[in-house]
Amino acid sequence: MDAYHSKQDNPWGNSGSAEKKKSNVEDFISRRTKKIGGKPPFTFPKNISPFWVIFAALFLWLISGFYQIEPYEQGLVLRFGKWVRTSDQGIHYRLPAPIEEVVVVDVTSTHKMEIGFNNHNESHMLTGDRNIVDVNVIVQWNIKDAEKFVFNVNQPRMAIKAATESALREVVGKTPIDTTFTSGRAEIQNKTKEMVQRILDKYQSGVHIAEINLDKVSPPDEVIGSFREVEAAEAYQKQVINKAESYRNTIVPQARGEAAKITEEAMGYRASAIAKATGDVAYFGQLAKEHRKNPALMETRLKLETYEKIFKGAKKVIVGDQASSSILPHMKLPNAN
Amino acid sequence: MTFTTKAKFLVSLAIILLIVAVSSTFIVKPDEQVIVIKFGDPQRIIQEPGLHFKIPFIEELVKYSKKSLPLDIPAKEIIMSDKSRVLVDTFSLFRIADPLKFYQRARTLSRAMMLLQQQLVADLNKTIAKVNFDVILSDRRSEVMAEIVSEMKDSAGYMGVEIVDIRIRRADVPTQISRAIYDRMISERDRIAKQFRAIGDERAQAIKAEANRQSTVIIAEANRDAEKMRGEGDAKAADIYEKTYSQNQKFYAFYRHLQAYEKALAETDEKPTFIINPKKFKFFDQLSQ
Repeated sequence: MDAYHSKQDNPWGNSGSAEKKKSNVEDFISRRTKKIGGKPPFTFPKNISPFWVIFAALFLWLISGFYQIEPYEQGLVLRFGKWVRTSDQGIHYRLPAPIEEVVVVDVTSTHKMEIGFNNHNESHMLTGDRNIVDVNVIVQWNIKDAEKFVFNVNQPRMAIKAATESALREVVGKTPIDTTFTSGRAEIQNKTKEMVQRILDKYQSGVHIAEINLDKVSPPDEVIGSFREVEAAEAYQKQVINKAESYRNTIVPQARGEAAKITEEAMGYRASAIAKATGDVAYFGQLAKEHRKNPALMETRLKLETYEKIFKGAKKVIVGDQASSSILPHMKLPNAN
Repeated sequence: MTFTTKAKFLVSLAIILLIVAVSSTFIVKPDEQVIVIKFGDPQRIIQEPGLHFKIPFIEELVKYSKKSLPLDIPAKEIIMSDKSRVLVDTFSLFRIADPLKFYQRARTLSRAMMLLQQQLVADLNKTIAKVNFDVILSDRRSEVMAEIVSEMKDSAGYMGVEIVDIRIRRADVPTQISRAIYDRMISERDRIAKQFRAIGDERAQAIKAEANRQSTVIIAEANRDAEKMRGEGDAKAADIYEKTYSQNQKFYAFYRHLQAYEKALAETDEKPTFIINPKKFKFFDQLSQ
C-alpha cells in the first residue's frame, strides 16, 4: 500500500494530510480510477470528497454490465446463478457482477467429429451376416438449445461420440455386408442420424445432429484382396458375356446375309427356268407354225442342217458294201487315212 | 478529524457487513445442487438455482453437479451362452438425483464412479452371459441394455444416483475370432468370385450356342425356301413346255431328236469317227446320181 502511494504520479500523493485519511476502500477505488483514467490522470481537486470517489466507482461498476453478442452466439443471462433471459446478437445490458453474469454460447457453428479414422477398434464393426466391415463416419452437429447444452450434460462431445458409435453399430449390425457398400449406405446414415438424435434428446443435451456421413465403408484390410477378386470376377463375367453377345451379333447377321444370298439365287433360278422355258417354247412355237405350212420341206432342211453339224469336224471312213458287215477292223486303224 | 473518524467507522462497518453478507449468501448455478451442512449434519438440499442464504460461519456447503455424468469403462471380454466371446464396451450416463443419499453413501464423485463401475461390470457379465451373439446383433440388443439398466437401478439408487442411460457402444468379437471371421469372409468371397466366373462362362456358352443354332436354322430355312423356289421354277417351266409341245407332239419328237443327235455327236470334245457306206446312206444320194 505504501509503496504504491509513494509513487510520483499518484493522484493523491501530493496531499500529505489527505493520505492519512484514506481507507482501504478508497485506495482500492483510487486504483480502479487510475487504471481507467490512463497514464496522465486527470487531477482531482485536492480536497475531493470520498462521496465522489464512491460515486465514480459505482458508475464504473454499473457500466461494466454492457456486453456484446455476435451474430453466431447467444448469451444466457444468469441472475445469482438462475437463468433469467437469453439474449441474441447486439449490445445488451445486464446487472453487473456478481448479480448477473452472461454465459456466451456459439450456437450456429457446425462442429465436426470424425470417428473411426485410423482407429480400427472404432471403425471395425460386425454386420448383420457376421462379417466385419470398416466404417469411418463424420458427425456434424450444432447446438440447438444453448441452455440445455451448457447445463445438462457433462462433456457433451463424449456423449455425441458414444451415441454415434452405439447407434452406428446397431444399424450396421442389422445390415448385410454387401448392402453396406451399396444401396444400404444412405439408409444407414439416415437411421443412425435418427437414432443418435433420439439418444441425445433423451439426454436433454441441446445438441442437434446436422448430418452423419459415412466417409468410408470398405472391407477390412485383412480381406480386401478377396473383395477385389470378386470385383475382378464380376468384371470378367461381364466381359465374357459381352464377348459372346458380340459373337452372336456378328454370326447371326452373317447367317442372315448368307440366307438372303441363297434365297436370291433360288429366286434367280426360278425366274431363269421359267424365262428359258418361255423362250424355248416361243422359238419352237414359231418353228411349228412354219412346219405346219410345209412339213416335208422343213424336215428336210432341218435334217440336212444337222448332218452338216455332225459331220463337219468328225473323222470319216468311207467303206464299200462288203465291208459294211464288219466294222471292227476299221475301227482299229484310225491312222490309216 | 471528526469527519475522518466517522468515515473510518462507516467504512469498517461496511466491510464487516459485506463479509457477513458474503458468508451468509451463496449462489447455486443451474447445473449445481447444494447440501447445507451444520457441524457435519445435513440441514437442507437446494437444487433450485439462484441466490440462497445460510448461517454464516456455522453452515457449510457441499456442491454436486446436476449434469449427466459420463462413465466410460474399458472394454471387457465376456463369454456368452453359446460359448462365444464378445468384447463389450459400454457408455453410461449417470446423474446425482438425490444429493443427500449421495452425500451419505458415496460422499465423493470419484468413489461413486468406482462403485458404479464395479457394479456395471458385474451386471454386464451376468446379463450378457445369459444371451448369445445373435441377440447382441439383433433388435433385442436394446432389451439387453434395458435389463442391465434395471439390474443397476437398485445399487445406483442406493447412492442417490439415477441412470440416464447405459449403452453398448461396441460389442465385438475378440481378435482371434475376428481372424476366423476374416478367413470365412475370404473363402466366401472366393466362392462368390468363382461363381461369377462360372456364371459368366455359362452364359457366354449359352449365348454362343444360341447364336450358332440361330444361324444354322436361318441358313437351313433359306435352303428349304430355295429348293421350293427351284422346284417351282422347274415345274412352271415343265408346264410351259408341256402346253406347247403337246400340241405339236410329232414335230417335237422329230425336232428334239435332231437336237439330241447334234448334242451327242457334234458338240463333244472328242470328235467321233464315222464309218460310212455311201451307197446305203441317203445323205450321199445326191452325189451318186
